[in-house]
Amino acid sequence: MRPIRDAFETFQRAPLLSALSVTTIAFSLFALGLFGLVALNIREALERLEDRVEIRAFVAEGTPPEDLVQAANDIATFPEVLSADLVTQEQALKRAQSELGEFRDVFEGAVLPASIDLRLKPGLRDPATVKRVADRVKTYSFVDDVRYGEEWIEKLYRLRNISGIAGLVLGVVFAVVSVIIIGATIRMTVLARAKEISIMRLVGATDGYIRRPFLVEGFAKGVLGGLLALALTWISQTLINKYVIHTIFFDARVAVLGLLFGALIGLLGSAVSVGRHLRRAWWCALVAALVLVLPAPATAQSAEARIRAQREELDRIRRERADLESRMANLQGNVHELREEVANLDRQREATERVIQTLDRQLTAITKDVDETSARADKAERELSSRRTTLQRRLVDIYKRGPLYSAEALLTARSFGELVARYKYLHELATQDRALVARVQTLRDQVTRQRADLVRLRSAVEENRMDKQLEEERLARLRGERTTNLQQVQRSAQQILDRLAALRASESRLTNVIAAIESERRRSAATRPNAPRETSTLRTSDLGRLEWPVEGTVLYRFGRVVNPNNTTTRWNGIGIAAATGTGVRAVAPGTVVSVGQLGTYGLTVIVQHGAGDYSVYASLNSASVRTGGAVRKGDMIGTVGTSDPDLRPHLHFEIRPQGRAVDPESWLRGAR
Amino acid sequence: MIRFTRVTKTYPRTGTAVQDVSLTVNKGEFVFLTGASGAGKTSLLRMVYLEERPTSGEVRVAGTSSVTATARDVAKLRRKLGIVFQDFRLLEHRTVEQNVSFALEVIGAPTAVISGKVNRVLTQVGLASKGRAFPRELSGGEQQRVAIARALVNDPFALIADEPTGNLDDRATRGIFQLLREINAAGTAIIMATHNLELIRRQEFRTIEMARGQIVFDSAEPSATPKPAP
Repeated sequence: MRPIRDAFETFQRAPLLSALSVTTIAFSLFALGLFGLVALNIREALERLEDRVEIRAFVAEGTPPEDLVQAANDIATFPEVLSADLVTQEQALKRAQSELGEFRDVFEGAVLPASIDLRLKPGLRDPATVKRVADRVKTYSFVDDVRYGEEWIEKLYRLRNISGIAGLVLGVVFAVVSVIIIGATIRMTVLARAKEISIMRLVGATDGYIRRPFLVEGFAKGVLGGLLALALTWISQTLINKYVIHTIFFDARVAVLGLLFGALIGLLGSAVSVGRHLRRAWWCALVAALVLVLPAPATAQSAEARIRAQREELDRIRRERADLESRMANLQGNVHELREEVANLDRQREATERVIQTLDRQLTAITKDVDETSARADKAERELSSRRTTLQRRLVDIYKRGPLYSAEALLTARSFGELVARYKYLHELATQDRALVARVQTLRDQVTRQRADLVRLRSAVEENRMDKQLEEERLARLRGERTTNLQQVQRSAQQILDRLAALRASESRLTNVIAAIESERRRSAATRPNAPRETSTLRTSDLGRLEWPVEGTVLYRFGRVVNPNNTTTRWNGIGIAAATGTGVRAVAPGTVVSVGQLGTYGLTVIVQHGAGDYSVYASLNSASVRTGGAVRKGDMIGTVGTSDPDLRPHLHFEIRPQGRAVDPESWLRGAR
Repeated sequence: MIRFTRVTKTYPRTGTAVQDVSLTVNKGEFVFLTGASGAGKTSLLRMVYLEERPTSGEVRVAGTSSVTATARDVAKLRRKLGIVFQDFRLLEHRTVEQNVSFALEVIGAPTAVISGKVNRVLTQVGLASKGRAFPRELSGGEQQRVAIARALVNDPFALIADEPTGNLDDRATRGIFQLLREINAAGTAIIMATHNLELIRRQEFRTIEMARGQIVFDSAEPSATPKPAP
């Protein structure tokens, strides 16, 4: 009782000094408390990290679920293991999407490996144990990969050890400093009572007796200072919580321990100070200063343009050819000019060849385009599959790293700058992944587009092939025609020469025949000189009025005709085309003077119209008159036939006044 | 009762204070200790109440040996000794009574007996009426009386006084000396250091003179050089 009373008395007697010493104790304990708070929060944070220590054993695809369940149960019985949970592929996907919300879209449709997740018992989460358990789990045949973040676990433990040691050293330093400060303040009160102490000693008070009130005083000051420090710390922590970051406060047990520590420091300080007086021991104060060094297509358009250009050229050539064709028809219809026809044919052939060449070029171009597009599509396909693989791999990797990804980034960073950089890298990685997905999408679209191009180009090629085939057939036909024509031209040249000779022979025969008839007529006229003078039934008034001996088109006209083989034929009459068997009528009355074959003229009927005028009807099939017979105008003489194999059935008709051939058309009606 | 056997005291800095002193003081003796300043008187006295322990030799006081005594033994020994100084050593913020009773309180005397003892001893020193006064209200002689009262309150077998009259005038000195004689008469041995030769000369008490740490004269020794004539 007395020491307490004495101590209380001291407070009463020197309130200022006591308040000062209590305040000093409070502030040194406050500093200790703040340090303690920091240490506590760091430890708490590390424990929370440590709580996340987990071993994930990823399982090969296609392992039977029963095996996995059994393995999980098996593993759960390991002495170090707290729990072993089976995570299926579906659960893995769900978990990845929730744990890595940032990558949610990337995980869409991904296949993640199933795993067995192990948690170790608290206190057995050190790197060595984690590695041992991981190695043991690896022995299961279907386990393909075991992840436990060895790098960061070691770092975590190193960090924990460092913070533990630093905490201990700093704590001790703070405590020693507190003891020294508290001791010094208590010593002031002791000094104030030095005389009293010396007297007490003089009169035989025991050291213990002398010391006791001081100890009580120190204890009381320690407790008071401790309470004050606790209050200050609590206020600081509340303020930090409110304005800076969330922290935790000491629990009741630690708070009481803190108070006791304050009291103990008070006691110790007092004891040391009083001891100095009692034993006159000299103490050296050692103040240690601690420096803490904390330490990343489209070429189809041009091909299409090219094809369009070629198509236009093709169209132009085809139009040109159509022109040639119509001119040809014209030529064939109007003038039978074989040379021109052949030249036209040549031009047509050329045009067709150009069409084919163009088609060939177009085909080549299209084929090239198709090849290019195919190659590009293949490349895009390959790239797509490789991107897909990369993305898949990254996804699996990200998942396998699990929620510790950020913790790892935090722990492996060496400086704050690097830490910031790492956050940036993480962000960039996520962005890149997303870009990768977008790129894959673009590639897929491109491939689809190029596939469509390919199909279109293939059909174009098919169409052009058919065109080419048609053109080739046409060319072959044209060539055939040309050959036939050439042969014909060559043959007819000879024939024409022959025929010309024959014609000339026939003509002279005809002339001779007529001359013979004329000379006989003249002789008979001379023998009957008083016979009335004959008059011709072919009067000049009949010019342009005579009826046509047969109705038909003019096959050849009177006079010179240039043949295609550059020969000329001179006709003494005209050829009137008509079907074989068509009746031939006399153009004027007269006497038949000759019926018979006459060379190339065939069956020929000659009618004398008197006064030396004759008309000739040749190339007949049959004759219905006899030599010496009289014919009236319009009488049937015979029928149309064929004499020249090169010519159609026709009637060769001549008018020979005085035996000389003239153009019959001038005598006939309505010359056409 | 008090025996020094070849006692030498050497301080690390100041050298030898007491050299090879052998001395015996008997029960009820009155001993003067004289000598020039620095002769070793105070050191000798301090060894009596075991504030100092000899560097060599042995001091035995009432059965307590300087060689074996623990802190507790020392405290207990002091309860049987009274010690008085030149500067009184009173507690300024305590009354006379409190100053005296303090000596009883700190050795754990029963509260019941304290005030009786205090009164009696204050009466003995002639300050019964000034029990409630503070030291600063008293004269030097009175203050020394309070100190003596405090020394006597435990009924010591010996009173050690180191220059008790050094700060006092003649009248007061005589008064204090008178008191000491009275106390001695009651059976308490007294060892008093003083250089008041006049005081010594008038008395028939044993006188020990020291010089350079050694006893140069002891009136109790037969071989001692003759005491100066009274």
